[in-house]
Order: sequence, then structure tokens, then C-alpha cells
Amino acid sequence: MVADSELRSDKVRVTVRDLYKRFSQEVVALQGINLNVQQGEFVSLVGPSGCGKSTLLKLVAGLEVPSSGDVVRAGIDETPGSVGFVFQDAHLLPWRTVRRNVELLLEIQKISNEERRRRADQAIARVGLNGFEDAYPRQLSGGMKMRVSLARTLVLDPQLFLLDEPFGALDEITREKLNDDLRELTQANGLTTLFVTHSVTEAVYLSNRVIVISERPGIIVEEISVPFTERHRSLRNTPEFVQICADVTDALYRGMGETGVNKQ
Amino acid sequence: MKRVLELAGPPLLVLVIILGLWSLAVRIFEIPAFVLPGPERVFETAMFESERLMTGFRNTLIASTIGLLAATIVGVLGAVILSTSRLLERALYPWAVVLQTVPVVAVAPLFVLWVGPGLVSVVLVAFIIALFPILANTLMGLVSTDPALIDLLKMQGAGRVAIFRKIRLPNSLPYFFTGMRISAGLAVIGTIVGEMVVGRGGEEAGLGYYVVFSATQLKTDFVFATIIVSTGLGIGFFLAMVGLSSLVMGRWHESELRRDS
Repeated sequence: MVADSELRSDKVRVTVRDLYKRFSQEVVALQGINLNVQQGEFVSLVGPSGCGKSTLLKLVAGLEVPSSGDVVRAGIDETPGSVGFVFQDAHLLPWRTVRRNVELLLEIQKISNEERRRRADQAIARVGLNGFEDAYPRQLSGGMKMRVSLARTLVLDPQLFLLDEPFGALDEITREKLNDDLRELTQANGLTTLFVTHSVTEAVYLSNRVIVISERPGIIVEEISVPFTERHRSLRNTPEFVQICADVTDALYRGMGETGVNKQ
Repeated sequence: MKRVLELAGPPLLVLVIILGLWSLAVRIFEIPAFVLPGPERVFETAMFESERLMTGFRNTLIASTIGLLAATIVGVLGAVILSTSRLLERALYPWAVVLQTVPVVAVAPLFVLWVGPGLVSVVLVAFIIALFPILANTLMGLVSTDPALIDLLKMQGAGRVAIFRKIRLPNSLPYFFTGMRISAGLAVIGTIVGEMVVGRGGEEAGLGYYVVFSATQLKTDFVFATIIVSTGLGIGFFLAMVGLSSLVMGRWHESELRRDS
């Protein structure tokens, strides 16, 4: 499904080759995944709950070790901060202010206090939270907490941006707002992004490419390209957008049918 | 001021009612003073014996403080050590539970035998009884951290020390203070038990000594006065911990937040 010439291309940032992940004899999370993500691309992974899409993301992040196959991260410095990871929930430290939360990962890198503060404030501004630098997480709404979580990762200036269902717990409007902001951020910074979600609309709206993963054991059912160059709220209502969403949904159903589970 | 009244009003009213009923019951049923002295009589005795009560208060306060401090230091260090390794935790934690379940009243005479009848024995009893809640709670706080945050820090190349300082230690604070609140009261109880067993009077006499001393002499009013002072000391210890915890965590922890209204 992926041409060899593409694999050798200079621009490829992440290459996943024939990747298997087993948790036990019975539980096979991923079964032969091939995938590549190129510089500046925004790729979404969608699939039913428990299909291994989060596991795939963790494998790319290096948080999990593959059972077989490899993950090659080409053109990415193997230094701390080059890969940014955002979790499903904000996971903020309640005893730290917004600014100090954003500074957390920079502290590990032994960056001077002034530099740290400057970069943190910049990242806070990038996610639109100016004025909340000294607030504590408990004073923020769910969407604002998620913004802090994004800022905490953006402050690292990552070359590869990995997001694991970051907006799953948010209400629809907040989610759409954050989608626009995330889209803008990744575009403006040329970030290479891998995004896990179970929302079809969200995946199609944000991505250049949507990858549909089947129920466990997870295989890639289909890769769907999203041709739109401009994204705007109203895009969601266009027939083209709706058609692509329908294609993705179809692929999702096929992914659930193939394993014979949940047949309706 | 209004807040104080709202908070303290209801329990104070209960106190007044209980004291009234107590006083009334003693009069109506003509209960002899050595069985149950009325509140007025207890108050009179407390005034009359104020010097001895002060000595007892001072000695018990000193022993409880030393016992609680020792339990805090050993408890926190122990929790940190146990949190570093599953094996250590499995090997040592059950023994901490055993230490907790050994009846301290029964062991106290052994301390007297080993280290002599004095402050050290008393402090040992207070220490042992106060140790476990601090150890167990702090350990819980150190290990029950958000795994996602640990992953996040590890991805940035953070080592165990950095993870401990930035995540585990602050995360354990509310748990630690829960332990401290329990142990503060226990330290006072342990001290009093220790003093009862050690039985040193005079300048060294603690509140526990006076309880035994006055009970054997059927000075029930003095026993009551001593118990009231001991309870006051325990409450004082507890409140000190509450104050300390709100001082340290007041800005961020839910349990310390005043309701916005």
C-alpha cells in the first residue's frame, strides 16, 4: 500500500514498517501496520475504541516497544523535545500555575529561568491564554486546560507532534474552536502531526490524510486523502466534506465487519 | 466574625446543653463526687490544681511533639524508600502493618525495661503509634501519580530524581497531611499511654501520670480536669496540622479551598 520510492524519499518523517504489537498471546493490538507521515503533513488515525490507534501513537512516540517491525523517525533530532505528545486529558499539575505547568518540560532540559519564562509566555499566547499565566488549573474550564496542555507541548518546539484524542472530553463548540486553533498552529509552524481521534468529522476537518484502523487486531482498512486546502467552519456543511466523512464512516464499518464482531 | 459564629455556634450550643444536663443529673440523682463530679466541681478543681495541670500539659506537649516529629521524619523517609522499589515495599510494608497492630499499651512496659522510666520511653510509645498513618498515607501519595505525566517527563529524558521532585513529592503532599492529621491526635494519646505506664511524677509528671495518680486516689474531679486538658491538647495538635496544611497547599488543593460565594 505504500510505494517503495515513497519510503526512501527525503521528506518522509515517520515510517512505520510491518509493525506488530502483542500484549499477550491472545491480545494482538496491531497486526502489520505500514504507514508514513511526511514533513508538514497532518494525519489522523481513526478507529473503534480499543483498536490500537493509541498504541500506534505510543509506539511512534517511543513510549511502547514494538513486538516486531519498526518505527523509523527520519529527519527528527533524537533529542528531548523533538517529539511532543498530548494526552487525552489535560493532565496538568494542580499545584502549579498555568505558566509553571507550561514550563514543566523545559525544566527537565535545564534551560535558564528567563528563557523558560519567555518561551512559556510565548506558548501561552500561541494557544490564546494570555492573561491566565498565573491562574491555577482548577480555575480553568475544560477547553482552557486542554489549551494549557497544548502549550506545554508546543513550548518544546517539537518537530513531530503526536496527539492522542486530545479533545475527546470537550463539548462540541469548544472542540470545533480548538480544531480551528490546532489547524492554524500546525499550519503556521509546519508541524508534522499524527492525531488520534474517534470523531470522523474532526479527523476529516483537520487532516491531509485519514487512516482508518480496524477493530483488534488492528490493521489499516483504508487511507483517505482529504483534498481541501482551506478549512473553515462552513466546510463541514459542504457536500464534498460530507462525502468524505461518509467514506471514512464506511471504512470504519468495514473495519468492524472484517473481524466478525459487532455485526449489525 | 459572622463566619466564626456560624461555625462555632452549633457545636458550642451542644456543649452548653451537655454541661447543663450533666450538672442537673449529678444534682437530681445525688451522684457522689468520686463517681461523677459535676462540671462546676471539675472547673473548681482545675483552677485549684492549675499548677500541676500546667506541668502535666507542658511535659505531655513536649513528649508528643518529639514523638510526632520523629514519626514524621521516619515516616516520610520510610515512605520515600519504600516508594523506590516494589520489592522493598512488599518486604517491609507488612511489617509496618504489624508494628501498627501490636497493642502499644502492652509493649510500653518493655520500653521502660529497656530504656528506663523517662522521657525516652514515653516518646517511643508516641512515636510508634503515630508512625503508621504518616508512612502509609505518604507512601500512597508518592506512588499514586498520574502515569501519563510520568510518561511525558520520561519522553523529555527526565530521570527518577526529576520525576520524584516534580511529580511524586508534590503529589504526596495532601496524602501526607491526611496522615499528619491522624497522627497528631495519636501522638498525644500515645504520650499519655506512655506516661501512665512510666509513672514518673513531680517535675516530670505528664497528664497521663496525673490520670492514674488521681484515679487511684479517687480524685475523680482531677481525673476529669486532666482528661479535658488532654483532649484540648489533642485538638490543638490537630488544628495545628490543619493550619499547616492550608498554609502549604491552600492555593491549589481542593480540600483547602473555601467555597466561592
